[in-house]
Amino acid sequence: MQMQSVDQGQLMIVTALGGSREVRTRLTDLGFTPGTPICIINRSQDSVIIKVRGSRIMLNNVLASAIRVEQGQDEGGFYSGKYQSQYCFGR
Amino acid sequence: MANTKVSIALAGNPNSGKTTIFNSVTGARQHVGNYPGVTVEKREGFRQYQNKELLIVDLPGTYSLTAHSLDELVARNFIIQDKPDVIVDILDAGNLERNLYLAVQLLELERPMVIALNMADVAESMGTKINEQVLAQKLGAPVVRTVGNRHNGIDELLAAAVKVAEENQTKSFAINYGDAVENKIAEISSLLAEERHNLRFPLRWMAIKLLENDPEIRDIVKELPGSAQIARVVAAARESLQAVFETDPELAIANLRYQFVGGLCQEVIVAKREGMLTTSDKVDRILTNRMLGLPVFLGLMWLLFNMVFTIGAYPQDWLEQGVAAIGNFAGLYMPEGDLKSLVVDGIIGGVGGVLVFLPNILLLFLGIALLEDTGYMARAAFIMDKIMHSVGLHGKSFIPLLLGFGCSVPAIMGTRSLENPRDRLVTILVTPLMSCSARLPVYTLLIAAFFSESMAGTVLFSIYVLGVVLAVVMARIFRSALFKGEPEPFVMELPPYRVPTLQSIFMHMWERSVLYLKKAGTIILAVSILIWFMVNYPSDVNYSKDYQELIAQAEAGFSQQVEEEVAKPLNIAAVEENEELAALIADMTEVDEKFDEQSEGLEEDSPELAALTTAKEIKLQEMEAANTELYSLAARYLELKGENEEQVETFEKAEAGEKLAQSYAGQLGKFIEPAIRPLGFDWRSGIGLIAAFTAKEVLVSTMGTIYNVGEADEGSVALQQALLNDGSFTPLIAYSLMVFVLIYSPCLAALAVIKRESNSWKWPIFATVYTTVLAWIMSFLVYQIGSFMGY
Repeated sequence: MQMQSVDQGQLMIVTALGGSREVRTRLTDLGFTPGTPICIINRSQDSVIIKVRGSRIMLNNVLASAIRVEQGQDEGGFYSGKYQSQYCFGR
Repeated sequence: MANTKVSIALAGNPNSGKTTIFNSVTGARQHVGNYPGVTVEKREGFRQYQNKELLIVDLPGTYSLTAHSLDELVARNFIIQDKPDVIVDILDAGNLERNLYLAVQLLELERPMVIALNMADVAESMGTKINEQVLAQKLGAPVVRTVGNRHNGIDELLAAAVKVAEENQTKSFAINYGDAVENKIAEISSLLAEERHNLRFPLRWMAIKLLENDPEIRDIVKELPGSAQIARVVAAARESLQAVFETDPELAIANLRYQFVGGLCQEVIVAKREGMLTTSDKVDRILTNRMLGLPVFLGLMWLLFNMVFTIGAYPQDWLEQGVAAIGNFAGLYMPEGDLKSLVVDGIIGGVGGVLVFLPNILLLFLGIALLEDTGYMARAAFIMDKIMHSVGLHGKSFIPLLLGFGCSVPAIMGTRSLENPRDRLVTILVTPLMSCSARLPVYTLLIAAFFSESMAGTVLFSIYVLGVVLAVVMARIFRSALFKGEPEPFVMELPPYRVPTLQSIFMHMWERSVLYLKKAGTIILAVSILIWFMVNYPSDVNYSKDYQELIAQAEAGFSQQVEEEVAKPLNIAAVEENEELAALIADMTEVDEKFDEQSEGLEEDSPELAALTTAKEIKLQEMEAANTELYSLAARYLELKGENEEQVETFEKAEAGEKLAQSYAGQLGKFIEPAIRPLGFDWRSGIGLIAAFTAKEVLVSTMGTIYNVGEADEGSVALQQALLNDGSFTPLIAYSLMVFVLIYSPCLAALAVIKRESNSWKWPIFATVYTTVLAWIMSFLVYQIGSFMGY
């Protein structure tokens, strides 16, 4: 699934990275690796704010569209305990 | 270690509190420069600690050391090439995993290192408890708890850093990347080992970087004698890893590194908070909300500008009075002559007129520092992103543009946060169109002189809006004509909301205000002196009439008339001989002077003025009743005296005018007059505009010198009056002049910064030319259309 079709506030899991090598390494450095839970905090037309590994990162569509995601299988949404792994703390 | 100098490199993620710790360690002993050859800001600070001179370098904040951005490359090269005695890595305890990802990459460089676990108190209060003993043991580096904004743990951190630096041991640190990768690392390392004497880098690290296809390291290896074989082995290794992991080797290695860090986190974190969304996240859902974000943002901006201009007005007033007092003082105690004129009109008038703007600048930067330090600025950038996108810029460009309302110099420096050089250049080129605070005195002067109070706000606002609109239009044009290209990847972190510390706010304000003061002390001082010289020389002028002779004639005529009409009827030779008459004249003069003093600044048909006039007339009538005959003589005397003074003044003004017209400044102004005539400006404005090329606020002081009103600032009623009386000015011309001042060439200081930031002379020259041409066109339109419409 592409990032663009994800609802705000949904817990998602990164499945793969697309785009150029440059784009992929950038995203990896920012912590978007396969298996990472992420959550869209807000979006505008050209960019999104994503919560990933404890940080809020704003990405423009060039980067955001390279992230493939799937729905997180977490019954209680992001408030529940399933994804309170090491990924999920931060301020 | 015999050397008592210790160099410390501060590394860490953006927003890890690195700068707070840097400020806490160094205090005011800082120096800001650039890393050689690039425009990445290099902050250095000094600190005396245990008889050692510590040199602390604040490395750029990065998430990684992959050298994909300039910041990462600079940080990495500094550690590798400058070999600081010790690296201090700042970890944000509240976001340990992301921060450790950088920490392990730093450790892989095998340099002496100390870890500062920063803001652990905040993390703990939010439920994340970290066992630093385990962390220290796992990383093989000392860990010190710090709270940067409360100066906690700084001494311990320095002690640990100095100790590690003195031991000066190369620490080996290795993540186990698993057999597949480790085999390849071993293979490449053994090849590199043969070239050991040619290499400054740790071999294992180089091997990993080659597997990651790092362009820097690849280039270095190319220079080695055995490069062909190494390249072959690396290519084969990358291919086999690609097959094993079914993805790029660099991504696979990064994943393994994250896995290592994830495992580390589970070992060192003893308590954990539940859930994923924090307070900052929840606040962000409101503040960056599609509906609420923009109104909140606009409200804050409105508050900021109100604060700058309303609160700033008071200290500005005090400074103005102070400058005037210094001018008067110097005027009283210095002997008449060129030196006095230079000091009072040139230096105090010029520099003082600019200094009075310091309070506004301080307040603007206070507001901006608050926005930055609370973390709101990044949100503002997100909110503005859509709007900025429509002009071909993006949200981050908004911050420099906002700073541009304060001063173009820090604004242009602020474009450093933009990674993409094209975005940076477009932003740099349009930033000067944001009306900086130095232009405000010009507007204030002209608006006060030519527009009614009820119009003032609207006129001023229209100028600011014009600047913004032009910036938008020009950005679009540049983007589509000069810097075509696909959108680039763009990243910005939204830091957690924080309560800013006083120290960091003051640091921000201070740094930026110093830039302004430096400008006042150097460029503006020099220009003030130059303008004064150009206006006053050459001193021997060929006048069209002998004004001194004319003045002498007028004086003689006055004496004769007094003798005939006042002295003769009383049978005296001079007025002074009749004590009664002299006393009456003195009394009447006093009444007049008192009236002038009290009525100053009153509106023409105000009741206060009417009352004063009545009081004056009553007093005069009393005097007349006391001695009718003497009174009529005294009145005649005063009348003659007034006529005479007026006449002398007319001659003096005409003389000064001719002198100015023939001065160097006058010649220059006349030379460019044909070019600016279509805009409505005469040669006097021409001089002002040329002088204001150095700094826009200079226009005010120059006009003051030209119109010969002594020390001038934008509140100076004398200068306003002089402009109003000068027939060549109309409200339309004043507006046209404001438009021109808004747009034309960035000031010298801004041009110098553009040169530094773009690393070429091409862009400052381009900026000057395009803005001046644009200014000419806009002013031409304003003046010609305005004239046509009959204004």
